[in-house]
Amino acid sequence: MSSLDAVVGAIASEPRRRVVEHLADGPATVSALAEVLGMSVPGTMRHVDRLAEAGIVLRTKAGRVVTVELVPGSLDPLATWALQHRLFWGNHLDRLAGHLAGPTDRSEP
Amino acid sequence: MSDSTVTVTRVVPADADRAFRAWMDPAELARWWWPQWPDTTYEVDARQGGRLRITAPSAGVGVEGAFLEHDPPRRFVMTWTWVDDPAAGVPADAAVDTVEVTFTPGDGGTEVTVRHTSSGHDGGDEQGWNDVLDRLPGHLAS
Repeated sequence: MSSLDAVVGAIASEPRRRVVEHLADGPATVSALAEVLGMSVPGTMRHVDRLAEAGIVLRTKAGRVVTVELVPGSLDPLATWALQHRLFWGNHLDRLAGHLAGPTDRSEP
Repeated sequence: MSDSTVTVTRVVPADADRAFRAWMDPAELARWWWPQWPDTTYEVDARQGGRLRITAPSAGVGVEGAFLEHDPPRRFVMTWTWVDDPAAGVPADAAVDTVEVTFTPGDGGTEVTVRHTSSGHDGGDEQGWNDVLDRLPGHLAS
């Protein structure tokens, strides 16, 4: 499986995206994440596992406390994919067509 | 590594003058280029040798280029460099691509064709990306 597939699979879940968004503000404990999700700790652990398998987050143990943090650059394959030329231009030309078909077009001579 | 060219074509419901202007007028670009990022800035010096600069600081992406040919409303050719960090500008080792856009009048509008040629400077992932992306045109055309 490519790293892109792994990343896309990992964030194809609303709770996991919320975990990622929360971690964008800094590392958090699993219990803090469980609170954010309104979910049990074991349930939260499952989501963290998926994100860790895809290389998006990293677990660090300090004493008895495990914190979860984002891996810098791990979402880059997603951004790179979205900016690849064929997708980029296809998307942009569709929007150009939509723009030119828009209401302001009617006022053109 | 040899150059690779991606070609994408759409028919837009406007004449060539109007379609060409949508690329050259910053106010028009703002309506369709990256409207999802409101802090995007658009600078276009619409003439041969003029520069184009579009940056979206909130998204951390931008593009810079210069018009190698500027022939309204038929065609323009420009250099094209992706900028990852708009605040830092173009990195010294950035790949410089070429983008050619042609406007061909036809039934029901203007055929707009983008040809984006990459130098292959980045190498590596390109083949993998192409494999993924070859599935997309059908989806995008539907």
